[in-house]
Amino acid sequence: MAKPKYLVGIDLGTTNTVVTYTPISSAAEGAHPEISLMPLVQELAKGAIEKLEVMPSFIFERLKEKPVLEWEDESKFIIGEYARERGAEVPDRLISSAKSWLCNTRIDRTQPLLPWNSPEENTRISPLTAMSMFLRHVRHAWNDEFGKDKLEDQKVVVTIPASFDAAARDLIVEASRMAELPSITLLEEPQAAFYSWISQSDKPWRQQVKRGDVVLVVDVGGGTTDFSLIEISEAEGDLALERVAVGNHILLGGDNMDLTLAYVARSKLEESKKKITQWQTVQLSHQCRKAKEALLNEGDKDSVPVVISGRGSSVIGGSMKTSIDRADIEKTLIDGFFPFCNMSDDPIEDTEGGVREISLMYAADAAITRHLAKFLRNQNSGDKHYGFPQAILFNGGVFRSDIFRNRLIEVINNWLSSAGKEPIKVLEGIELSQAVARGASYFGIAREGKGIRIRGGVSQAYYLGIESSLPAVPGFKPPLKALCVAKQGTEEGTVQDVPGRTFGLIIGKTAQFKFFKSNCRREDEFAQMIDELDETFEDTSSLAIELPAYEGMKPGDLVDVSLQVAITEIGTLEIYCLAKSGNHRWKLEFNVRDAIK
Amino acid sequence: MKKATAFITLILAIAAAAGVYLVYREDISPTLTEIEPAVSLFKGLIAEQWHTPIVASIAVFWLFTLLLSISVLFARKPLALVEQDKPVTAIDKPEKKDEILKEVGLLREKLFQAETAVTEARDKANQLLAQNENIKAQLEKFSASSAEKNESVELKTQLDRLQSELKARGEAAEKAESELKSLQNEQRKISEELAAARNKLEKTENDSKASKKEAEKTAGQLKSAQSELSSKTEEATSLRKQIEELTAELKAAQADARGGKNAVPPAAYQILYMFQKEGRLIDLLKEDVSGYDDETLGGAIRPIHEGCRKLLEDRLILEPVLNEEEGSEVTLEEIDPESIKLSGSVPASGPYTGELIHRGWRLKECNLPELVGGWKGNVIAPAEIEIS
Repeated sequence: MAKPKYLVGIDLGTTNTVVTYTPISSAAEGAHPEISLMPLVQELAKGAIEKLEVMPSFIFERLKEKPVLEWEDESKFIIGEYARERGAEVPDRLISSAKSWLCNTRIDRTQPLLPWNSPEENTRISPLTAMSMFLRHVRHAWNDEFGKDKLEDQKVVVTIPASFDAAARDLIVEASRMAELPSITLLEEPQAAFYSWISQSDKPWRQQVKRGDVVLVVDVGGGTTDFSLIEISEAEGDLALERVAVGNHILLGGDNMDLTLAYVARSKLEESKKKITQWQTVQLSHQCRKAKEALLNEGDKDSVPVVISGRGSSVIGGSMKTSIDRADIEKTLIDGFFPFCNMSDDPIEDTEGGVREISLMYAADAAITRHLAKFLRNQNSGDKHYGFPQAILFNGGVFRSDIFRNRLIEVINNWLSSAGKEPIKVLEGIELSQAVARGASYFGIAREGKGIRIRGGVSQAYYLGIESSLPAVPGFKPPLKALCVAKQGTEEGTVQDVPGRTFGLIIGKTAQFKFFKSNCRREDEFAQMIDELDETFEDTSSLAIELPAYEGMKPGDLVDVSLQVAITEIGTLEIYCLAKSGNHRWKLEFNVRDAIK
Repeated sequence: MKKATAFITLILAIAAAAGVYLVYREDISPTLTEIEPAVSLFKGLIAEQWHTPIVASIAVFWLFTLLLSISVLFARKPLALVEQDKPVTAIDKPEKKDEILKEVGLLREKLFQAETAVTEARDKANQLLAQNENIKAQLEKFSASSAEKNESVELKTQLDRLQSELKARGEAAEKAESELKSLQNEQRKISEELAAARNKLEKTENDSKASKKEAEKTAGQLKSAQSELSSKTEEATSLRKQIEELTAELKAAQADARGGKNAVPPAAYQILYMFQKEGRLIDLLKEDVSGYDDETLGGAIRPIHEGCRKLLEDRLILEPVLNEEEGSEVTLEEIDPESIKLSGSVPASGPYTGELIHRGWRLKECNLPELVGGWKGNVIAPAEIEIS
């Protein structure tokens, strides 16, 4: 293996993939490293190719289009820009939001299921395969560009939503292995955005925050919304950073906004008895986005005309015209996605109108502010008051519009002032749509020991479900207890034995463990037994283990085992069973095949 | 050799006799007192009673050696006489052989020269082949983006240069070939001569088996030289063919580059395709707009204008030739007729002063996507069928 020359950051976004890199040699203490965007060569229509800074995370199954990229050979799939373009025209063959499918615990993520509900004769692939295809494309594009410095030899960081649970993290590692990138490191996206802020801000970051500050990172991407809290603490006389909380996975993003506006325009057109097709809705969506930007950025306009051309060659005769008004934006977007609410409010579970698909667990409530209220409220347990942050860092293309930023700041300040706190400070200076990828490269530098590193550790607490031993009573399920196997924030590289617990496992049989997570129970200690499972616990993929017979054991034997938990350096959680006698060790695997009922 | 050995043996025999005499003389002459210790050492080596037999045997051996040496020295003359009995005719044979060998040598040299010429021609052809590949690649690249005019001009000059070079190479190859032909003729002559020589040789063959063998050997050499020559000739012919093929290919490539009578540069398709795709421009220009009122027309043009404009912003980036305000007065010392058009009452020479009517446009940048396999077919907007 060649010596790595670059630190590479891959932002594997729900809708867009961005790759950055910086030479390892540029990693120097305190310096502003030169982080470059890696052009990703992609297929376009008519057998053309082009290097683009952004690769749309879309996969399209070819109809008659011939592969044009050297490495594609007989590949059945198009990846990137042309996939998105063709997918709008032939939706049955398009795979989109593969990343959201990867963390969907209600499906078997290794089974060929995508495109969801596509006709039988179409090829389907698993969310896992889809993710590996993006990574493979990135690897080929890189190797095409850099020649002998192959991507598989570089130090690669892949970003994931902070809300990804242990099983989804495992799947990303597996996907990169399938893409022949055997060693990658994982980084949470909000952390990446924070790193980007550290590396990019003109004013030294140490002057912008002080000890004891809690920074709220709000990342509203194309398809997902992610919250994280980072605490500024002190260690050895210098400021230190610690990620103290992450939010749940919320499938809600900027694309929802454009789509909502398109539906508004569409209903206006349909009111005037004009029929519009699915294809025209796509064009409408583009037009609406432009109208939105025009209305949001140029304060003097009250209405922007939206025209969609006729589909046939009669481009004038078939055209339809409507308009997007300032009121539409304010009503549907600002009040729809960032409504005023109290900190005590919960997201509305019951969906009323809006855009929602059954298969992907899109957020029922589009109000990002209500999701945020619930997240922050949950962080105020015990003596910690993380729920009242002192500073905010925005990330994601949505926040290019000041109107959304200002509204969110206004809402948060209302909460803070009613709790008697100071208004929130806004941390500026990051490039909103590339920050995650840039931050991933910077994290590579931090890992080299040449920059400050955010201490993160396990994003949430994890629990094994243990059935209580009670006399059997018909029709009554013994209550479940929870054994904490990973305390929130346990640092990478930690290996712990669970003391005082022995389990009997039968050789040759599959043992199942229920597995829970929680992102708001920060007081639970490692190996603590919690007797009652309340709503702060959340189901996650179960763990399964099938003990193979080792020497001197035969199927049916009962083996006493204890548990060992490891938080790996690359950011995954691994649980092992250790045999009480002998040196055998078995890994518990996440059961991503079994959908949670 | 024999005589020398006999002579040395004779000297040794005399010396041995002298030695023995010296050793076994009763008294030692005063002149030999210096070697007296060595003599007595010899005497002491062997017991007294063995002296007489040893001396006797040495004497016998000495006599024998003396006789043998003398006989060998005197046996020389009769041997020389036997050789002189050989027939005289054989004397001019080696001369003839030398002549043939010389001719063969000459022929070989010529062959070598021919071979070198052929190798050179082949090298040149290979070089040409590589150059042609290079040109083809460049041509493809050129076809992909013929908008890059500078490159095209450069390519064309390169093409011309290469073609003339090819011509020169072809001529060189022809020359090599004619040289080969003359060589062949020469060889034919030589082989005729050789045949005559062989006839002559045949006569003397009976006299000497050795000479026949030599002749056969010469003939074999000649044969192999001939076959070598013919294979070289073949090689030269095939090389010539190759060069011809290359020339044809080059010509075709050149025609493509110039854009033959019916050839459309791929970029033309690509630009039309993009204006239609991004802005529906072809549809607009092809549509009969006389029936629409101005408001409908104006509104419908908005997305078309936007799409086409985006293309000019992202891919075909234009900038004004002159940056002054239109309507303002401008003065130019010198003008380039390619970029400035003068009208009205134009003086014979600068400076030129007048009102800027149009700022002009120049193509600053052309960012068309790379067409991997060129443009296939002549469709710029496919027919669309929606299956529901």
